[in-house]
Amino acid sequence: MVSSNDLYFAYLTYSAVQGRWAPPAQSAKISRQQWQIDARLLFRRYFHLWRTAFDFFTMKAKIIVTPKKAVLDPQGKTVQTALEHMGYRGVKAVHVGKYLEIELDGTDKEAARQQLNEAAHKFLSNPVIEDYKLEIE
Amino acid sequence: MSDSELNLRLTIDERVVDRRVNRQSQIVKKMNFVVLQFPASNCDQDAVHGVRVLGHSARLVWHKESSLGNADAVIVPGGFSYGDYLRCGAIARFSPVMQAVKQFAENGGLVLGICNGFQVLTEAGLLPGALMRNRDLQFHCEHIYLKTVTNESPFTSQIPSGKILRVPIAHGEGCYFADEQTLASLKAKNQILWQYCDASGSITDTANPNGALQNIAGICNEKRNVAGLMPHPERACEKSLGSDDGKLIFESMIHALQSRLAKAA
Repeated sequence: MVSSNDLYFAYLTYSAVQGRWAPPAQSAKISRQQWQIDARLLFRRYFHLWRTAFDFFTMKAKIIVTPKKAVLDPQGKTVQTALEHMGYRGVKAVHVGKYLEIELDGTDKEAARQQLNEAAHKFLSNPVIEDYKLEIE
Repeated sequence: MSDSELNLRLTIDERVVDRRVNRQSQIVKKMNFVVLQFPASNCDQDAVHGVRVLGHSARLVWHKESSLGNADAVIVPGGFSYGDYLRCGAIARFSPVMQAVKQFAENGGLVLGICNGFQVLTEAGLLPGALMRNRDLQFHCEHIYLKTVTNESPFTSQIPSGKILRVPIAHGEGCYFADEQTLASLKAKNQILWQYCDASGSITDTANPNGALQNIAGICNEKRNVAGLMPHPERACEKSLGSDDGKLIFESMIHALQSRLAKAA
């Protein structure tokens, strides 16, 4: 059930998000201070809703860049020996790479994948010495 | 002496004089070096100084410029362009000035990349291969010895054969890597210009400061007009700096430019 209070809060949220820092006309009786308290409350109350809506319209890409298997990876080797020295058994190999998180506008995954594949090949990784894995969610 | 004979002599004399004047003007002609400047380049002033010590002119060009002006040769200097973010040279290669450098290289202009400049040129695809972290993960700042593999390039022509160059290095990511195919073609086309060696000139693993494949310190492209090397010849242009072997590389470039001018004349 949606109460009138909820509607009022929703309107407040809306105006807050829009950057209108004046109370709505129909509740002009409410003081500015009271409105600010209300706005804060409502922000907490509906935060997750806005968050969900925001998430729905944006995407996140994850790119993992690792050194090619054929390429010597001295960093990975050093980490591996350090792990062995610390007593961790059964470490076969360590590869140290990079992790990139890219936030994107829009919902078209295929277009984003195409664009990011190009960027990863051209710029984000060096195909001579590195491989990359791209995930979009 | 008949008239025709005299005439002939005069023309010959004129030619000789002409050639002499030309030669002299070539010696006097100052070559214009352009030294690029990226945010966090730090060997740009050294490169400018190195060129000026040889009596030629050098000019700094900011990375946002899209033209090189009347450049005879371009030096991409060492340093940490764009903070070495992402990968060394990965961001610098997209700067406007690099588009001009690509064009310049396509037209046959001489381009020398030193240290970070070498990394920028490999990232830009002007030179094959890539440079990776040193095998011991440490930054090396020391004098090393270089063996010149071939004199057949505008960057090595004036280096006496058998001369071992003593020049400094200062890098953390100078381990040259290329896949087997590329390496084979580098060798076949005689594109390896310098290799790390010991004081006696033998190429050993202990003389290799960074783990570079085949001790490669510097290479050039197929057209032999773009070269890159990890050591710093510009820091070894004066005796007072401990070595002036680096001068030979710049002298070779100047010689190549001058003989080009002579050919054109």
